[in-house]
Amino acid sequence: MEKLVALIPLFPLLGFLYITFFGKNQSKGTAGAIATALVALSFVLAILVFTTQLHGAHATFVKVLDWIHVGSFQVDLSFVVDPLSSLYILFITGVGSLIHLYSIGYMHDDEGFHRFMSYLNLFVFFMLLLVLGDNLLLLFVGWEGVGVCSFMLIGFWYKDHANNDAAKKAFVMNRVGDLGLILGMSLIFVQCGSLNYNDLMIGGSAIGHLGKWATLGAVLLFIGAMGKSAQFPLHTWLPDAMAGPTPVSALIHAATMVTAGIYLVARFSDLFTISEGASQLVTWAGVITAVMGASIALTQNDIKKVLAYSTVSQLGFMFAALGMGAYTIAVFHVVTHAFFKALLFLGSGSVIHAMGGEQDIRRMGGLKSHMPTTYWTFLVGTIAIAGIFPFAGFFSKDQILAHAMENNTVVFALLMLAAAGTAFYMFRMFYLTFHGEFRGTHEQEHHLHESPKTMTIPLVVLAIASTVGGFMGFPHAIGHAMHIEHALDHFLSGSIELTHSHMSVATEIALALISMAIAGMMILFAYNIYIKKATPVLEDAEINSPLHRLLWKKYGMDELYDNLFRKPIDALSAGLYHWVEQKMLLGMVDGSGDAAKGIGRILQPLHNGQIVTYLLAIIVGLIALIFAL
Amino acid sequence: MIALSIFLIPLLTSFLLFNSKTGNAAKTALTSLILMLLVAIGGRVATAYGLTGTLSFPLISSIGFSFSLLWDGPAFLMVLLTIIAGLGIVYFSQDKEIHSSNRFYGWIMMMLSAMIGAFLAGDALLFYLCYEWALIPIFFLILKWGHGEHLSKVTMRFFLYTLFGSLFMMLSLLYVHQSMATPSFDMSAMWAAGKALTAGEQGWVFAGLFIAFAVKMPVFPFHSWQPSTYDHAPIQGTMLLAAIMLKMATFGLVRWAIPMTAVGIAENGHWAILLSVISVVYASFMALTQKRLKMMIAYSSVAHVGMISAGILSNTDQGTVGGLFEMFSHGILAVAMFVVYAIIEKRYGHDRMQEMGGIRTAAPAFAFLTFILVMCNVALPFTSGFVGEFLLLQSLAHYSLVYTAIAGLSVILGAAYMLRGFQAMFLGGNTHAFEALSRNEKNILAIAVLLVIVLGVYPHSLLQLIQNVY
Repeated sequence: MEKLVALIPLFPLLGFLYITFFGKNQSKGTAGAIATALVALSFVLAILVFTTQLHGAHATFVKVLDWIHVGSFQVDLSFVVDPLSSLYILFITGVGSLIHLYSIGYMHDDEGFHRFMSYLNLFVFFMLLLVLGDNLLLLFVGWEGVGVCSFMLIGFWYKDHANNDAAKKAFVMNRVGDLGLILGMSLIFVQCGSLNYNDLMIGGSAIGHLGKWATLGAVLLFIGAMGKSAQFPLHTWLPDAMAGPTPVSALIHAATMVTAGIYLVARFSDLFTISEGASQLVTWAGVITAVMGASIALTQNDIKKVLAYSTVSQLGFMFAALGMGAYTIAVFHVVTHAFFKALLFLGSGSVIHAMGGEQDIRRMGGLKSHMPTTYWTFLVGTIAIAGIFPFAGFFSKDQILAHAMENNTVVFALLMLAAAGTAFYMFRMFYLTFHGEFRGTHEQEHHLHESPKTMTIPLVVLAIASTVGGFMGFPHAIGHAMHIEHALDHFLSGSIELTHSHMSVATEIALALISMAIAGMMILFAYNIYIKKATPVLEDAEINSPLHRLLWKKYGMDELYDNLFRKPIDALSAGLYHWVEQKMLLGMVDGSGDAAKGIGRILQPLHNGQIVTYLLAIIVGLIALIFAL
Repeated sequence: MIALSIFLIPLLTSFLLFNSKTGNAAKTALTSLILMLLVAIGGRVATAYGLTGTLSFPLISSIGFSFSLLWDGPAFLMVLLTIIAGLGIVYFSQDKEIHSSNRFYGWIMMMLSAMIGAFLAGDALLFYLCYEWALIPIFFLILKWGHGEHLSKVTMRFFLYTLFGSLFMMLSLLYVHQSMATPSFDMSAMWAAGKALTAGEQGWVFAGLFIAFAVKMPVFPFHSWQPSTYDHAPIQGTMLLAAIMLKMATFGLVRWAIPMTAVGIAENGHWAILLSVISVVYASFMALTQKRLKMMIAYSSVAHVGMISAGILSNTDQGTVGGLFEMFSHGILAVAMFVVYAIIEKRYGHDRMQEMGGIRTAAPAFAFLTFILVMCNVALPFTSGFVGEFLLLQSLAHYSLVYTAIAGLSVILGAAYMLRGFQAMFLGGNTHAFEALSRNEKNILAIAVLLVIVLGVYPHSLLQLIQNVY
């Protein structure tokens, strides 16, 4: 059964090639159907592969092609099927096919429809390579591949340079992380002699040969993860990436690609476990990102920007969990987050679609009655991310919090703070969008409508997944009685380090109640402000309080980076070019050239203008010299 | 015999072209190159079945100079690159107006012959002679078919600079030569004699070789002849320089410097690796500030070559093999990138990137192909650029992880300048009339893109070939 795994990335690749080269003759409907069907086909295979793993978890390797064999450097195009990769391919293809389906409706009127579907297919191909590769180098192929697809899709509407700038920023910032990953790979190869997971961790333990370099190796890999998964300080590209069409934000910048960093760290849990320092770094980067993202999200008024900062913040939760050794819980949160965040993004797309491209929640309101399916599914997503029982987000987030409580009180307190913020900003956005009076133009109000079926079906499916998706990871307290506690944990322990917990049932329940109470209070708080008092949200020019401004300006990080890196580097290049390259180096050469010309003038009689004679003379002279020796 | 015929075919073609007044010169050159390709591939296959490809007959026995040609994996690889790049250059020029075309193609074919001689040479003096001989054709190509107001000054600068640099190689080779009991320029004799030197001596011998190669590649700070020469040369000359000629130097490192002076490099060659690493970053910074496409490609080439040099000098299997692979990949990429430049320059009448925009709307297929080439330039996996560059970085990491990190900055900077340039030229809303690509232009880019991807996805065969020494 596992042999079939090679077909899983193949289908979307075929879709990309077909649409790129033969798609022009196809109608939009056909092209969209082909793209969607191929990913759905991969999903069916992924289910088969996943089920096999479920019946007996074991790592299987499927080699496709000899790739790079140079001396001791041996890397193949080869896949690994184990619990971790089979779980990842399951939700990538599952959520992926839904978003493909949704795109058929969402992008229907776009002239670049074919191009869009083909890029989505290519993205899925690379994302699958990333998680299926049985070695770090193949992971890197997927890693860079999804980066390029992300670039192409953020800048999909390339006629507007604002989109292109966002795309370029995403690519270049990711490359900062990629350099870390490249160096990490180099270090691992130099010290351990292999890049294959089987040698390093699964079948062998060569990763241990890193010895005193373990912390450096782990930190370098983590730098890669920071870029891809938008962790502080490499997070600023993700909110800008919202320039891409909304399905892209849902698929790439929420559900799949940005969780590649979590995959990487989880995959190397053996390495991070032996490196206390690196794990501390991961934890704190995660915590800072979680709090920072949530705090910025409180003040944003663009529906997609709120969701983007929310993603940044949720990814921070996942890294905090990874850093504390809760690898399986982090992966659990990846999966539930994929459900509810894809749902929320697609929901926001449905709203934007109805609003004729408007993204400012200050211009919305009262959409509930116009688009009921979007409203109800969005509500499910909002509750799920806020962490209310029994929706998906509750289970995964609560276990991260529980783990933090056991490990580090400060981390716990900060994550609680971020979780409280999450409940508030999500419901703030929810109320402003769907409740109250409509605040847009008459024209927009006229245009309001529920989205077509291709868009609402994915919303409903994802809403169901966001409701029941958490059941795969029941915490001890609830699951014990039903003998299904930590089902996901145990499954994943076939690939990565199991999360250890010693928390009593009573504490677990108390924590769950407290965190839900806080979330509930936050929701009421938001209700009170935006519904009961119907406080109008400040226009940009009215934002005067320093703290509000700081958050609204995203802590000024974009400006800071501009002044700290982009401008100085450009100035340095220009300066080097002018002073060193032109004045110094060229000046020196031409100086000596002029001297040569002077000598040439003295030897004018010999100079018959024939450079060949010159050269022959030089060569003959040299041969004579050799003879003389 | 195989090696000899591949060396002679272009040489004879050039004589033929010089002495004929009429006829289609480009067709003649193209036919000759196709013949070479067939002989090379057929010859490689025949070698596998036991045919001897090599050749050696003594020329001046008193100093042990013989006309000796090799036919091993690396030599074949470089010959293949020369032929493919040559095909690309001639095919691209075929539909262009070129004055005195017989002489033009004659010089090109002679240059190819000289470079093939250097790649095949199994004798150090023969290598040196071919290395220098290649200067004559390119000198005339630039002087007679180049452009720009400082043409003669720039050509002279290039000529003298590179000629002067090579003298150091001569001194090094002579030093090794005179250290032998029975002097010989034969490769194995030179290798053995080089190895027999003390580490100190080897360090000096290496220094001479490296300076010569560093000028040709070029490596900072010996590169200052390069951008202006690339700029003034006819586009075919620029392609010859970037795609093939500089590879004589990087190939020289693999064929001569490393085998003769490995110990000297390890103990006294630190500076050369450092210069190569500096070159990578420096050239990336230079590329970042260029306003003109041709100059940006020129500096980007310096950055790539610095990486090749640093990786090879780290002296590991990955460095040597990765270096050779990257030479091949970079050769194809260089031709293709300059084709992109020529296409754009022809339509806009200039190559100032910031004054363009929106080409993608007018020519989507061209934009698509260029984007893949740009991605190869930034060493994206599944393009040939990645395989070479990753192996080189890997090799450098064995030497120093800090150097790897510094050279690796080009991963970021390369993406920054390449995407900046691509965005300025191809994206955005402006529309400028853009004449559709000619058949030749389209074909050459498509073939380059195909090669770049095939070699990136399946580099295995080529990598095995490179490792197939003797």
